[in-house]
Amino acid sequence: MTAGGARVELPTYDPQSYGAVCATVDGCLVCGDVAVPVTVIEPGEADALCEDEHGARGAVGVELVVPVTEGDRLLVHGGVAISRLAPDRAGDSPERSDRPHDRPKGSDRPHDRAERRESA
Amino acid sequence: MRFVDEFRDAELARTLGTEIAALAEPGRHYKVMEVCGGHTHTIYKHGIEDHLPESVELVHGPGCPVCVIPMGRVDDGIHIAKQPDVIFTCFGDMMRVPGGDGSLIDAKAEGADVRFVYSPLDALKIARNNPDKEVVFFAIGFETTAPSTALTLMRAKAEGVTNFSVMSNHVTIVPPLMALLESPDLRLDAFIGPGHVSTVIGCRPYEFIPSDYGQPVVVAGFEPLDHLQSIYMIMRQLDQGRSEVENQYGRVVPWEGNLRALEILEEVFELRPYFEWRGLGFISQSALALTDAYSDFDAELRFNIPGVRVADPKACQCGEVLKGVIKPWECKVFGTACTPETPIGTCMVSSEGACAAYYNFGRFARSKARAGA
Repeated sequence: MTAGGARVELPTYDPQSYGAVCATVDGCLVCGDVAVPVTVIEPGEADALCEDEHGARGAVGVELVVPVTEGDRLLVHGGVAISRLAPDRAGDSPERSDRPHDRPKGSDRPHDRAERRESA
Repeated sequence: MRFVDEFRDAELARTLGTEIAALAEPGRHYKVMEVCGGHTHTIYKHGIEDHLPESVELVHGPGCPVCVIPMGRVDDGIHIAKQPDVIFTCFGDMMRVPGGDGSLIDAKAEGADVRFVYSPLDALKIARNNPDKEVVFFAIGFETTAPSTALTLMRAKAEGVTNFSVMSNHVTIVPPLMALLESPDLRLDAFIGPGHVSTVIGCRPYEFIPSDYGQPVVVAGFEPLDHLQSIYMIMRQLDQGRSEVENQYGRVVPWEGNLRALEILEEVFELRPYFEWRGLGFISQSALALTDAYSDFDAELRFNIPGVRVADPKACQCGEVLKGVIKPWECKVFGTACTPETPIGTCMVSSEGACAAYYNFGRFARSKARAGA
């Protein structure tokens, strides 16, 4: 890659890094709002060794989804698991049917921007 | 491949396209904005528009965090990167974003120690391994990414790492949506809500859109059929005269979001009174700064940054593209002076920027359409 006429050497992947897990998806992980599905191989309280669909393994921060156990399916963004793949929905196929959406019945609460801002 | 192949079934895509067309009211034009840069990327990469009737127009929103970074913030980052004994870290695409006087990768070529990382946790690891250096992480991203920065800061604090700091450019998704909805030059019918942002914040924060503005929102996944199904769900709402928030991406997005992630965001970040968005101007309470409890890790306090506002290049129309007012190819410099190799505007930098996505995947189709016309 060149920049300003100079050749720039970019760093190589650290196979133990989070990048090894995330690099299988094209595009920028942040801009693309990319999250990678992985499977927990060795559980931990802060980090867990996880494996992606291609067999790449790396440490993933799991504090936002603890507790995790071996075999759990997680969604990783920026080296941190932000969600679980719902076990009962992980195999959902995107049929064009009127699949019921997730809105709980009777939860027609008005939006609450103030509360969300507090959360942020 | 599980979770991929089944969401790229061509026959189902054609069926969904037919059903969407059947729901389109004759003579009506529908404008649907996809908020997220990842969705923009999906649309062009997989030719989603080819499955839609002409009356359904997809408008590309401001959901690419790189694209909305103003040039002045890039210059502030470069200023820090050029300080002695600083290792400056950022996500890959951020390296090429032009500031007023070059990009971070230019600064690296000139000798600054700028490194790209995939996770803020990697930046913290660099700090642990280089105790004689100041390691700074240039944080960007919406609520999807902010928790990983927050988690990193919590670990840094717990471990007593003192040579690590963060320049926070994290932004929030709802304020720009409100700004767009109040924009007089943009009339939308519905929104395709961001998928992974919603994993963190849930679906409730969007409920003001149907309740206050009468427009449907469908939170969608990132595969082609996710996208087509979400458009189908939007068209069904419009056909039935409904407007509400629906969740197409239920296999990942809980309605209430990730409560633990929201807790740590609250602990580490607070809303800035205002923040400049490229193309959208200053939007109040739309970005995150570190709380007092984490001020020791605030790079903006640790380093004396210029904080100068830099005007966008006159030829660049990223602002109009980000607001969905013009299409990428309608920009004066699209594909000529501004390309992914030599971007003038941020929308051409990130692969999820509307201009880069269109340049990479859609320009030939557009050329063909023009030739046909």
